Formats: sequence, C-alpha cells, structure tokens
Amino acid sequence: MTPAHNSPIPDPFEAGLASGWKVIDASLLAKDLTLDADVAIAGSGAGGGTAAEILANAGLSVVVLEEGPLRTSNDFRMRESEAYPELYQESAARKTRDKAINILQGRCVGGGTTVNWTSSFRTPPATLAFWQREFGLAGYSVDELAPWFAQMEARLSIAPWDVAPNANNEALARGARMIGISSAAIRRNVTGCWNIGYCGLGCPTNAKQSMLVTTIPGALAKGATLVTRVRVQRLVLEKDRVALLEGDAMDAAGVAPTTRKVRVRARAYIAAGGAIGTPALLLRSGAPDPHGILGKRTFLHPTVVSAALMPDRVDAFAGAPQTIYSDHFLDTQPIDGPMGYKLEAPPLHPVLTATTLPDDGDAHAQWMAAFPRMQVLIALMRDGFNPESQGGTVRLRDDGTPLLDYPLLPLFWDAARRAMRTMAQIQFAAGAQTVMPVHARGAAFTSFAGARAAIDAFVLEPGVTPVVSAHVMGGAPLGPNPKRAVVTSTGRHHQVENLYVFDGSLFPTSIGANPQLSIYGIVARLATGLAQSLAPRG
Amino acid sequence: MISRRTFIMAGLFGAAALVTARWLRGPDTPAGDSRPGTLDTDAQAILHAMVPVLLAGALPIEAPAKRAAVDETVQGIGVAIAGLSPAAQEELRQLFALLALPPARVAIARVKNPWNEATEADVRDCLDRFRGSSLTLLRSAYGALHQLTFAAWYGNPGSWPRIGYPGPPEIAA
Repeated sequence: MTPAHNSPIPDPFEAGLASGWKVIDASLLAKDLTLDADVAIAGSGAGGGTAAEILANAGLSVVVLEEGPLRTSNDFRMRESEAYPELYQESAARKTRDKAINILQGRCVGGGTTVNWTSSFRTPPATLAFWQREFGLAGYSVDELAPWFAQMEARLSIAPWDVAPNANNEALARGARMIGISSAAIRRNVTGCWNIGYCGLGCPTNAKQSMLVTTIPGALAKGATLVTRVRVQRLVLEKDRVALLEGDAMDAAGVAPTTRKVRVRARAYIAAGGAIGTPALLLRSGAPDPHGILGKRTFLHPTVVSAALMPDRVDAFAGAPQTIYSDHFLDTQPIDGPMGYKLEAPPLHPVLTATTLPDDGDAHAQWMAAFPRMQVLIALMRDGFNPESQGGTVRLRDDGTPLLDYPLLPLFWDAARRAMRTMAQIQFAAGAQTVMPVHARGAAFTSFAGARAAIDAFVLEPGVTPVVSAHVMGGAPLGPNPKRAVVTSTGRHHQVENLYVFDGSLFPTSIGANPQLSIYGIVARLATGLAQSLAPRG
Repeated sequence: MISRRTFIMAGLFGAAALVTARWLRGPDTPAGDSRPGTLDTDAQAILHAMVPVLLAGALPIEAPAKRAAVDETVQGIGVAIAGLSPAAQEELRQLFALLALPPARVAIARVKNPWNEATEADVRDCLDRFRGSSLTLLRSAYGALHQLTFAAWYGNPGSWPRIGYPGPPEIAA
C-alpha cells in the first residue's frame, strides 16, 4: 500500500500496520526469511483468506504467503493500465496452452476476491447432488452446507442488492422477460456500496467485502503473519508428511524470482493458490499422485460474449457490475447432457472491451466509438458434468510455472453456438439496434433472424472465436475415493497427512455459478475441522 | 490466393527461421536500452509499422498528434510486455526476432521493405494473413498484437474522449 494521501476513505491496512500487524514484503528482503507457525497457507484469496481467519481465531499461529502485492484502497485508482499488471495473474492476459482462452485471475492480497465482480451464489443444489451421486461425496448436501454458507454470508455481508440494476444488467432482465425466460437478482458481498462499477479494478471505497478488508485483517489482528511477493515453489516431503515450505521472493514488479528464499516450518500446510496454482505447487513438490489425477479435470466455465448497440446510452462501465442473471439454460436441461450455460452481463471498461472485441482498424474503431451505447452479455458454460467434458490439465513449464492445457471440444462449441443465439435474441428483444456475436472478424446484424442464420453457419474454432474465463476450479478434487480425489472429504491430502487443499481446486466439477461463495462456505467448514484437530497446545 | 500448401511451407520455414533467429542473435544479445519496458530496436520497428494499422480510425488525424499517439502506444506495449511472465516475454521476443529477419519478413509476413519502410497496405495484408492463417503460431501472433495494442491504446486516457468514456469518477467524501 502507499502512504496516506488525502482520500476520504479510511484504509484498513494503514491503521492495522500502525498497530503492529505483521506484514512482510518479500521483494524487500535483505536476506532469507525463515518462519515457524502452526499453519502455513499458500494463497490469500477466497480459500486462504477464509482459512486464515478461522485458524487464527482458534488461537493457532498462522503464516499466509501471497505471490502478489499488498494493494489497498489508497492504491485503487480505477485504472485498467494499473490494475491489470498489479492485481492479476500475468497482467490479466493468462492464456491456456493453445492461447484460445484468456483467463482473468487475481494475484494480490485477497486474490480473486479483491478484483471480482461481487456475484455471490450458494453452490447450486443440482451441482451438490451430482457430486454426491457421481463422486460419492457425503456430507455436502444443501442442508449440511447451509450453516457454513450462512456463517460466511454474515461475515461478508452477502445480501440482496436492492438498488436498481444499471442499464447493462437491466437489458438482460428486460430481454429475458420479453422472450419468456426467467432471470433474477444477484446477491452481492458489499456494505455501503457506492454503486460506482469498478469492482474489477480493486474497490476504492472498501465497500466490497473481499478477503482484503475482512478475513485477512481479521487474521492479522489475531497475530497472523502475511508475507507478500513470495511464490511458494515447493513443499518438502519427508515420508508421508510435509516438513517444510519453500518459496522464492519475487522482484518488486512480481515478474521474476529474486535470490531470496522464504521458508516456513509448520504443523499443517494449506494449498490455496487457486485451481491453477495449487495443482502446480503439488506437481512441483512431487506430491504422491498414485492414480494420475492431480491437475486433471480443471474447469473454467469457458465463456462466450455477445456485444450489442442500444439506441440510448448504456454506460456499462458505471454502476454495480453484475446484478442480474438467468439460469434458464442451466435449469431446463439435464446437468450431464448438452452443456448448459449461465447468462450474465459484465462491466465494460475500455481495455477489457477493446481487447475482447474482434477485428481491428476502422471496424474496431467504429465499435469503440459507440462504447457508451454498448451492451454486452456473457454465457458461462457449465463444464465437467457431461462425461465428455473433462476440462483441462495443469502442466508445468520448464521454469516450473503452470500452463493449463484446456481443449475446447465440439460439446463446448455446440453450447457456444446455442448461447450466441440466445444472447442475440435477448439483446434484440431488449431493443438492440445491432448485435455482434464475438467471433472471427465480428460480423454484426440488425435483426435476430439475420443473426441466427449467421450464427448457425459460423465456423467456431479455437483462436477464431474469443473465449474467456474468470473462474478456475478443480484439479485437486475432494472425495472419499482416492482413485478419483486428491483430498479427502475433510480437505486433507489422501496420501500426505499434514497437507490440505482449501480453494477452488477442491471442486469435482465446475460450480455452475460464480464460485466465490462456494469456496467461502466449503473452506469455512474444512478450516473449522482443521482448527479442531490442531487445537492449540497448552 | 495463397494455398494451404504455401501456408504449410511458410510454417516449416518459420520453424527453421526461428532456430536461425536464435542462433544469429544469440540468447543474450544486448538490447540498445536495458531499462525495464524498453523494447529492442527490431521490436520497435515492427510495432511502429503495425500499431497505426491496427489503430486505424482510432488515432488522432493530425500527423504530429498521431505520431505521438503511436509512440505512446508502442511505449505502453513495452511496459506491458515487461509485466508479463518470463515465459510470455520469451515467446514475444522470439516472435519479434523472427519477424525482424529479412527472409522471414518476406516469406512469412510478405512485407517486402524493411519494417521501418513498410507500407500500410503491406502491413494490412500481413495482419490479415496472420489472422486467417491455419497455423496456430501466426494466429496467436495476431492475437498477441491485437491484445497488446488495444490494451496500450485504450488504457491511455488520451484515447477516452473519442469513445465517450468519461474516465473513472472522483472519490470524494
């Protein structure tokens, strides 16, 4: 964080650091750092943050390690040119192996929760039922998880948002109503939200109840230590236990490791680096993987986009970014049949918009000139349920960094085509003058009939049809059967007795909804169990 | 019309050229300027040719303002690249090194003149060829140039008045 300036918004870290919170920026280390703790947590996002507070509240000593920097409300200037390189993995340009999917993933204190769009859904009942049926996962029914969701909803002020949706989201509600499908309001984790619309660039008013302003400060207030700018490289295994965590301090820009090392010796180790980072850490550590499942079945909710021009200003950069959704195409078809999709509206900022719109030169410039009238819908595919939908595989590059290989299959493209048709239909029904399904060179249409005929004829291919993702899930799934799960139903590694996975990698499939609350609730339960098993000594 | 066979030949040649480029330039050819975010002269020449074509219709019309906008965008791309992972930086370094080699420039990009003398029409054709290529390498090269250029330009507040974006609000109590 930067020192105080004349912002009217109190910065929670400013007061906390003054009161003696233990926060170490590893990029500034003059020599190697070694720490001892009850629990070492690799990652400070939805999983790591939730676990840190619960464990610290139980009287355990906790060290949280984060690859990204500490950036706080004093730093959040709502500029994409600053936020993407500072707060996101690979400057918000992380790609799958064939570069067909661009992944938005947080990398900063608070992880994805610092930059997400506040959409809060409990894990859908159909997803939980599928986990029980297909993976034998007991204890994860709607009723059994309800108290954990309720606990985290209370902690993070997750509640209905009673302000009118912005025009971008209202168009989704209006269009859905016109074509006769359901839509509903999204609950949000905010308190005193200013309805500005810049959640994705770090909340400048601390209204968003991310890990950055809730559980991480909560853990620090209980004496936890936070080390930033450290990439956890390896868990040193001795027999069937982790003996030591080793990390590389990163340079100030967060690009390359320095020569300084950070080591933590703990009773228990928690991997919480997200569904790409956690499998990669376990792979680098040579964690036992007797059934070859680690890093497999990594899911993304791969997403396609449809842009429209409305007659009047939409100003999709202003107002709470995601407030309306439709699950019609998830709820009205079998979960393991053709891929279903969730419909949402994304916030539009100039860089995110310009890099997602296809084509270049005059055609691109003309679309950008209509930026204030642009309305955009996204369709998030529910991957991992149809037997053919095996998701992606996390591998390691020569330098040990992760690379996700996620093939886009005909099953996905079939859903993409249906979703493009649906989105165009909704947008025209909502009054769009022009709709451009984001594909190839960006052909645009002035009627639904024209759009539908063209979409039916599209040649949909990796690299030709832009696909994006903001949700990483799976790769170290939980479950009772070690042939199909990396960790037990309590989140402990099946073969390593003091190693836990507490993040979105736990999920046996995608969630079928924005995953933050699924991570909060499930990790709250797992961390509470771990706290009990580690009951403070003395 | 370029046949699929020509594409494949270009692909094979591309792979050979890539190896040659590494060999000719060596792994640690010193850059002209070692400040972070500063591109080497080859990459600068390529981007100075490509950015005005990718941003046609979006840049200021008057020559000095246009030139300044292109310079700022190329500089912004350099800063953006410096913030990418070492793996991604290396891929881009190889791409620019390949395109800078005259035989590769002519055979793959079909740009006859050196990059700093390339015509906009030649660059337009080159970008279209990359985008429509059956080779993942060239398609992803187009994708990278697209993403870097539009991120650098539309991240620059100078681009906002033309698109009617007021910029972020002031936070005042």
